[in-house]
This record gives sequence, C-alpha cells and structure tokens, in this order.
Amino acid sequence: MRHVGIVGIGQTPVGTWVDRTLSDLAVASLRSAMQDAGADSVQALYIGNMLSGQLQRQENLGALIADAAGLRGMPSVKIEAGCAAGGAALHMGVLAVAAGVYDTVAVIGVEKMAGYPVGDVLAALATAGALDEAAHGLTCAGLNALIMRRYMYEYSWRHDDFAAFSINAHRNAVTNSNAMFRRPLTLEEYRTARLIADPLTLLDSSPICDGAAAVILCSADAARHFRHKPVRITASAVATDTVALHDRSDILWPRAVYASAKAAYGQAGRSPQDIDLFELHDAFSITAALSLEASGFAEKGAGVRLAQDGAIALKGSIPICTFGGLKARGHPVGASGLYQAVEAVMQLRADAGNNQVEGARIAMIQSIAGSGSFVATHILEV
Amino acid sequence: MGKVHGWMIVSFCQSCCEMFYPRRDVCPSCGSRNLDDQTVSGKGDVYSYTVIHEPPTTFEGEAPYVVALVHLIEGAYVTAQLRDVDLATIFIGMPLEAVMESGKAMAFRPRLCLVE
Repeated sequence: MRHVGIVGIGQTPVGTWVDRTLSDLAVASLRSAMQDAGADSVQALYIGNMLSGQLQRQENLGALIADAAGLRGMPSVKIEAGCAAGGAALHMGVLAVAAGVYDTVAVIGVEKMAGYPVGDVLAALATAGALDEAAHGLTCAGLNALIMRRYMYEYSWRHDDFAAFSINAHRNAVTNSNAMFRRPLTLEEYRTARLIADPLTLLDSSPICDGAAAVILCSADAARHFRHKPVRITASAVATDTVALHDRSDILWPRAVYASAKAAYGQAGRSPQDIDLFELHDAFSITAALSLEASGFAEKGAGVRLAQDGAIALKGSIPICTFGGLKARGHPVGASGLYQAVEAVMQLRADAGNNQVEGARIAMIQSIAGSGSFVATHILEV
Repeated sequence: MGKVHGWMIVSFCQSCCEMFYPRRDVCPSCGSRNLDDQTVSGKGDVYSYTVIHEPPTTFEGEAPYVVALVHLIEGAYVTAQLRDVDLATIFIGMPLEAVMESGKAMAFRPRLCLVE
C-alpha cells in the first residue's frame, strides 16, 4: 500500500444556511480545498453524507456534486455510514489512493439539516439506529441517554460532572471563525438547560446545522505538485458493532471504538501516549467520555475525570475538540468527519492560531455513528 | 385490557448461551447459526431508561414518554416503552413485566413483587 497525505483543506462556516443548497456548500468546500492545495484538478470525488435522501429528497450525490462543481465525467460516489459518513468517506478516499487507483482525490463531507421540522430531523437521524429501537420512539439522543443513565449509575457520576465537556468545547469555539457557537458556556447555563432525552439536555447535545468540509488526498509521489507539505495519514481504520444497543452485552463498552482505535494504533505504530490531540465525536457529552475510554486515554468509567481535570483543554495532556468539536463548532452529521480532518491538519501545520496545541505532531480523529455501531479512526502526522 | 399476555419469544444461542429479542437468525454475539426459539416469562427489570422530551415526528404529541432498556430475568435485553408508571418513581432495577397487546407495540409495566 502507498503512503497517503493531505495537501489541501477547505471548510464552510457551520450554521443555518437556508439560502445555500447542499451542492453550494459542497462545491464551496471543494474549491477552497483545491485552492489551498494549489490543485487544478483531482481524479475522483468521495462524498460523505447521511441525510440528503431523507431531508432534501435528493440522492445520487456523487453525480450531483461532480455536476455542480463542473467536473462532469469524474468518478464520484457518495459514502453513507450514519453520522460517521465523513469518517467513512475519508477511509474510502485513503484506500483508493493507497491502492494506487488514483494519485489525487477529494473527499467532501456535506450536510444540510437546518430549516426542517425538528421531529423530521430527529426521525431521520434515528435511522442510524435499529428499526426495533426507533419503533418505540427512541431518538439518537434517546439511545445515548440510555447509555448515559447507566454510566452515571455504574460509576456514580452526576449530570453536572459532564459539564466540563461542553464548557471546553464552547471555550475552544470562541476563536474559531467557522464555528456555530462562538460563545463561552457557563456551568449555570449547563445546569438549567432543557431536557431532550433525560438525562441528556440540549447542552449535552450537538446542534442541528449545515456545513461542508473537504480535503485533497494524494500519494507521496504526487505530493510535490502541491503547495503544502503533506500531512501524512498513518492510519485509517473502520469497525462495526451491533446496530441495536439491546444486542450488546455491555452498553458501556463501545467495542467498535476500541477495535478501530486499536487497529489505527497498530497501523501507525503509535499508542495513546503518542497522540498530541484527539478530535473525537462529541455528538453528546457521554459519547466523548466513552470515546476517551475505549480509545485508551482513560480507564473504563473514568473518561469524565479527564474533562474535570482539564486534561482535555488545549494545554492539557489530551486536548479534544480543539476548534469547538461537534458540540460547539457544530455537527452537520455527514460533514463532521471532514471538519475533524481539516482541523487536525491546521493543528499539524501549526496554523491553528489561538486554538493551537503547542508542538502538535500527531493527531487522531474519530467518527462514530448511532450508539457506536460504526466507527472510523484516522491518525495524522507531520 | 383485552388480549394481554406477558410471555415473549426470544432467540437463544446454543453456542454462546446469549439471548436476543427480537429474534435473530445469526447470533450477533458469536456468529453462530445455531439459534432456537425460546419462550420466556417477559419479566425483568429496568437496566436503563430515558424520558423522551423531543420526539421524532411519528411520536409527536406523545412526549414525555419513557423508553427503557429492560433486562429480562432469563438474560435478553429488550427496548420498549414503559406504561402505567409515574415518571418520578422509575429507578434502575425496578421490576417489570411485558404487556403484549395485539395491534400495539410491546411495552412493559411495573411488576408487583412479593416480599420474601
């Protein structure tokens, strides 16, 4: 397999973009990534998206976005893996370049969720879970609330203890011009937020929003054609678990997180101690805790302590959500995996401004679908 | 309450002894195809639960409602709503029994226990 690197990044601000179509957002992020790379063309597009068929009633995004970008004729496919579609698309792009099929590809993550009835969006998001769960009125938040309640019971955590995750995310988003919520969050606001799926509140949860992000991947040989020294992708690993929570023997141990992180460490020849920053999938505060645990940064049940101790802050031992994460930068679901990649590249280029993790050389990013049924983990290095 | 019964049919894996509901053809735990139907009591307790305040469109007007992960005494975990229950009284470990009513989604309700 050939070495693969990222030579271009692009993103649109995350927000509520009623006057911009799915194609507009995707093409804007692609243009900006190609411009960043100094690339005139690419050989294929991989597009991560979850909800276009349900919310926009538009499928066939491969052709749609190639067409909108003026790239008629180009190989272009949509990759779907629930809310982890972005991580899945990145994985497929990496495989294509590593296998020698293409020398240069663009991977785009795009999602439009705002402006639709909230119940419709929640029903659409719930399709990342099992039909046997949705049939009882469970939402994606509801699934993660079931995990959180049991976690609090097993390890004696209180709801307040999770505040540090959301507060950290909002603090880092203040200086990210592409973030949806550029304001700090107080403990009092966190405490008084309304319940979405008890014990999960609005401020444990990532927002409904729109956005697109893109990266240009190339082989090591092709890298000399581009402006930037490549950020190397030293691991790209995907794993799955049962779709339904009720089919797992331990809902507090996300096996696919563990499996994909373990495989990624193996590919890169790294361990958790080597990771300088971790863009994890904080769709809900509990998800961040479980991701830290199953990825090897904390003992089972102790992920919350890393947040409380400040280990997850920019100057901590394992910074997470360095540009606001899914909680505060925003979580346009199929695009989030690409936002993570873009942000990790900014960190590794030492181009993160006020959000810079000093001396960052190795970053890990992770996308999680549903209640942990699909996970994609990548390690990026300079 | 019409046609109500409490028993359920689950899949029992002969290879790893795990149980699943709804039924499965292949064991999600060990991959075995050696699964049998087994009738179980429908009795269990609350393993975890959530109160849904923001429902999907199909459940609009029903919130708040409780969805629980129920641990059957025979071993399987089941996702279902709780009914006939005061939200403030639910706790992890609360004894439950299944309510299977024709034409409705399976649900659970609190089960009265004899104190031994």
